[in-house]
Amino acid sequence: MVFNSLVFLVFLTVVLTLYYRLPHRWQNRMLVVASYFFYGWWDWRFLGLLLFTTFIDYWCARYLDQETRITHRKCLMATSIAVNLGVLGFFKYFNFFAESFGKVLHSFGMRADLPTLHILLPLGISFYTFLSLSYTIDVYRGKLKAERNPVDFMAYVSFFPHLVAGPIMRAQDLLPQCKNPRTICEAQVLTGIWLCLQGYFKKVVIADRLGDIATWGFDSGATPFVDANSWLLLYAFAFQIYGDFSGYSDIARGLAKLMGFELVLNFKAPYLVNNPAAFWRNWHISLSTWLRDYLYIPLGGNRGGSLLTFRNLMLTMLLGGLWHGAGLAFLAWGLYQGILLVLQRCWSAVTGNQRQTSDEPAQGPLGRIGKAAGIVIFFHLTCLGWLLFRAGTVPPEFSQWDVIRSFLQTLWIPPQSLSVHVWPVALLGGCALLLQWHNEAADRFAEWSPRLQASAVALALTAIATLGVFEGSSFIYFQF
Amino acid sequence: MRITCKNLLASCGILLALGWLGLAISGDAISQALAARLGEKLRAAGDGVIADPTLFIHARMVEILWIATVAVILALCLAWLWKRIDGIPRIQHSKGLIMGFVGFAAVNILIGTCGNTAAFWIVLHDSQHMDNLVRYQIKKSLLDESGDRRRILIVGNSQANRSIDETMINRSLAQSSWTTEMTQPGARGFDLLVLGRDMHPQSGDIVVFYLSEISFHGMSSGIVVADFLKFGDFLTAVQLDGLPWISPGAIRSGLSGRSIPAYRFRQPVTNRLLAWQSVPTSHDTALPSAPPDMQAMAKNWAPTLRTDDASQFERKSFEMLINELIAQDCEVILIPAHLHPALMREMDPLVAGSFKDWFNGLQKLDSIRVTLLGPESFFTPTDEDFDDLVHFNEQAQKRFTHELSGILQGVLNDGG
Repeated sequence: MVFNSLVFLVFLTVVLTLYYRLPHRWQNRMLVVASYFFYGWWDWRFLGLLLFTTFIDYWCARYLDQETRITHRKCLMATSIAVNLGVLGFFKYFNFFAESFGKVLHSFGMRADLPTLHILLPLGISFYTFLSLSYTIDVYRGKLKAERNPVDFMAYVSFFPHLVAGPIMRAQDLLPQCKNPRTICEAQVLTGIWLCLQGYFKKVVIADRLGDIATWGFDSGATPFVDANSWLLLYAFAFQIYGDFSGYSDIARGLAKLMGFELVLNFKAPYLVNNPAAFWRNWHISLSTWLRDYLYIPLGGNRGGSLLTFRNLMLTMLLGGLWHGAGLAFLAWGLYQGILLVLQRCWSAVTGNQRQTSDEPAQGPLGRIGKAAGIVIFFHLTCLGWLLFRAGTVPPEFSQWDVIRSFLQTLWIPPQSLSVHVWPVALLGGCALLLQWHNEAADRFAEWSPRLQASAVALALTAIATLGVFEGSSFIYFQF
Repeated sequence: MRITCKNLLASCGILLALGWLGLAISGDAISQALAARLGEKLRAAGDGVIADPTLFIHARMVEILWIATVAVILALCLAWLWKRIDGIPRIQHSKGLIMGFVGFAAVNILIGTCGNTAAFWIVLHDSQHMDNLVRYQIKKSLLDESGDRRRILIVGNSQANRSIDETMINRSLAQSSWTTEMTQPGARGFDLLVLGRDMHPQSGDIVVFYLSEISFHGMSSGIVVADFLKFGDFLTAVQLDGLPWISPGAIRSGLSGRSIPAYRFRQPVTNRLLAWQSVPTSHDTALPSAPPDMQAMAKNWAPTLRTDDASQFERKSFEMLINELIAQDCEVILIPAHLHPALMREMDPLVAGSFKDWFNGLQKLDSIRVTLLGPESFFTPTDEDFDDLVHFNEQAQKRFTHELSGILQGVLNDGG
């Protein structure tokens, strides 16, 4: 069930009604049942998979806690990694690697009819495997003790607001909240409701409206434009994916707050930054920090000199791209992001500057103009990356590379006139940028003046009712 | 004077009172003066829906004042509630959130009020793009502005829309009647019942139905239900065992729309605010035109026109509508609509025969108030008269409308 559906509203009403009446331990049990019900609503066949990976990681961590022999600890850790990545690899990447391997053999003149399987991708598998894996890694590293209560652990893994599309919560952040009794204050409820409203606005108004334009632009085999109006389609998709994903995160955080949980902030102002490192500190923060802590740093991070740093950056971003989807376009997107990060490092090294981040205020009018120009330029670089990303999801009858090529050929041709799409893209994109600019304000909703609260709520509800798309759209990140 | 809410509301109240007073004293004179200057432009812009410019202008002034009045009353209620909540400690800290939801309810009350006015729909009207809901609502709001002339309502679906030119009828019968076409694409039996109830026909109205087999057999589009369904209509559908034949999504949309007017009018608002009708969001995948093969299309379509439980439900709904119109002292004219000869050839003769017998038999519901105009009353169309399997081309529309005008003139003369 998607968050923007009637059946979910009914589900939520029942869950919250029970939740507020139950004592702490029963709350956790109820949450586990509700979360499994929520997940099973998509496809009950994959409940077993969720249970299996949860079970493996629970016991691996329990044994890791007791085990002192290094080889045994490594074996337990390897088991957890193998199971989680194996499951992820099988369901998500089997066909991709089989087909890619076949193509490689074919290019050497060898024929290989490798089997491909009609495998359904379990919902949220990329999210909950990473979440669960981070737990066992942290136990292995001694950062936290293994959870002994299976219900608390299951509640941590399967907590329905974040189960299918994040944020990817670390055990040290979420497990204590599961274990300890939760108090829900009025400010949390107010902010939770506002975050849900804001999330719904981002999803059904910004994302789904612009999604119609992006679908029209991308899913016909080539860009419909012959000139730089193609940028409008990239803008549309850029704001669509922002609205869709950050909207989901807002709703997840809002729902969690209603139950006394605090989930991490997953999006800040990713389109108001002027460099790639800042982008990744603002976009899908839970994934980027996961990749940093469990991939980049273990590879060596920036401790081994420039070349090794570049290698680590590229590997991390390549795998980050692959995480999003089993396709060359996603790999290309990851590669592109890696190249941007490497170029940024090179630039800093060449200019001798400390890395200027968009978190730091610009100095003087020229500085502000320069920063604004940097933001605009970097936004367009980000949009070029989104071209690769979106090409990865065009209908199978079209060639992803043809779509990319058609866009790249037209983006630089000055338009004779602006397309009719400019108005909705500008208006809805402007709303998205405004929300990014004031992204921290949402978490302080309880501190706003009552007048501002009332105006914002009434405006959000009216906008959702009048401009929202309600005809069965799902969230983009559900496919990851 | 400080600008406070209280002062602002007071000022608005005073202005409104003056407005109403001004309207009462000199509304007629202002309307006439404006109609003298702008009447022809209005008629041209109205594309045949404005019966009397003076009445039109006067009614718009009333509507604008009424909308402003409702807005001020709602604002006063919100202001009162705002103060009241301060005195309730339990919910005082949630005042902003509560008032946000109450404000949304107030917005919906205002939008619901606006939805009954032509002024609101005229603002949403985009002359470059047709919006069926906007056009229907404008016409519905203007129904009462035909003066003393008898009202003729043409009700149906796109077949009626493409076969009957209301402007042409109004040109020939303008002295004695005013004709308004109130069609919705894809409307079938139950849809017509929903529309008929929505229109609120009055005693003395002549309601013309131009309907064929496609209005009672085959699949429903769900458009009318999604936009117009009321709770009473839903209960009627339950009563007539029609729920299996109505899309659940359309029911949800319709009932949600009746509860939340902002949601009900979302498409026209989106079209206006985002220029959405101008924005292509799908590709025309049709091959460049070879002339359509009517016979092949008819062969594909005809088998879907079956007599089954769904068609029984549509028929029962339509009979209910006829009975309700009779009870409201309306005069009903039934015209079996023309279909392309290719479709008639492919259609199951039992279906065609069953429809003919049933449709013709509707006259028995009230032989005085219900008139059937059979095929002998009009020309017999050939293949060349159709753009597709169900719609007349422009020439055929003109010819048919001309014949219908003559018949309606006779009905009006008889009725007085």
